[in-house]
Amino acid sequence: MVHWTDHERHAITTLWAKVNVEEVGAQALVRLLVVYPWTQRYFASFGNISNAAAIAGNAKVHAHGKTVLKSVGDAIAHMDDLSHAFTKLSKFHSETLHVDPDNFKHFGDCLSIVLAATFGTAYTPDVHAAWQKMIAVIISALSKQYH
Amino acid sequence: MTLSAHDKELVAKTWTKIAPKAAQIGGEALGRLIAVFPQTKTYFSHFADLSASSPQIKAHGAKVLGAIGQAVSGIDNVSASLSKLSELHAYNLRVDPANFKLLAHTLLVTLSAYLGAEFTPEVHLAWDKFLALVATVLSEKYR
Repeated sequence: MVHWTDHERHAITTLWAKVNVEEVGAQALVRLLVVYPWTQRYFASFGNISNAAAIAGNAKVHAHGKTVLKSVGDAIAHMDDLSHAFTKLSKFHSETLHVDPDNFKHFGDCLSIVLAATFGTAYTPDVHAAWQKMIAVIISALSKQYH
Repeated sequence: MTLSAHDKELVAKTWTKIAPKAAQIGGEALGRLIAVFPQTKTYFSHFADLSASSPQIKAHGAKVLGAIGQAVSGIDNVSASLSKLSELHAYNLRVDPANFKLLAHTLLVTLSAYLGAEFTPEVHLAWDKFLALVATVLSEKYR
């Protein structure tokens, strides 16, 4: 069970309400694949992701970015009991997708940077800190079922 | 992981854009560091004010980004450009190298907030690599 202050809850949910899930999700995933190119190993079925321009224009990348960010929304909805809520998703990442959990951190960093680009000065240090905590909680929940 | 000519070009171009606001950006990056990763405050116990708006933190952040600017000017030999700082970090400051990654992150977030869409994935990549190089050079003489 994570302890959230009212300030943190407010910072997270208020910003989330303004997030364009499709846009932010796509941008975050594009960044992951460009900035940490070894993550492309998980997306062999996506077609052309051989360079930054191809990645940015790839429809499958965009669609998957939206999927991932929808899950971030689910996480926020279950922020008081995330380990439990994400049991299946964690198992899926471990047993089916075989994703190295270090990659969760890379995606989290990309998401934080996209939020900064999107919201500019509204992404204050306080808001950034609350989101960093939310991201850390998501990473922990997603990594929990690995064995 | 080495910097390509393209990476160096992107880093230099960004620097030219942000140079007029370097002090502000540096101050904000360090402010974010202590807000987002509070354990880093342990290195600043000699600062009277460790709040987000601390003038000491802002001044120090400006100093740090200034040094990074030196590394940008000497990007073809960062090891030489930061040689003195490398010694300072190894023998005096002894900041745990894990923290260089944390500051790199808050600096990237600050750059992103200031540059918005101009902080493209490719610019982000170039800076991520460059800051990793700076971190390597700074920890070079640790042991």
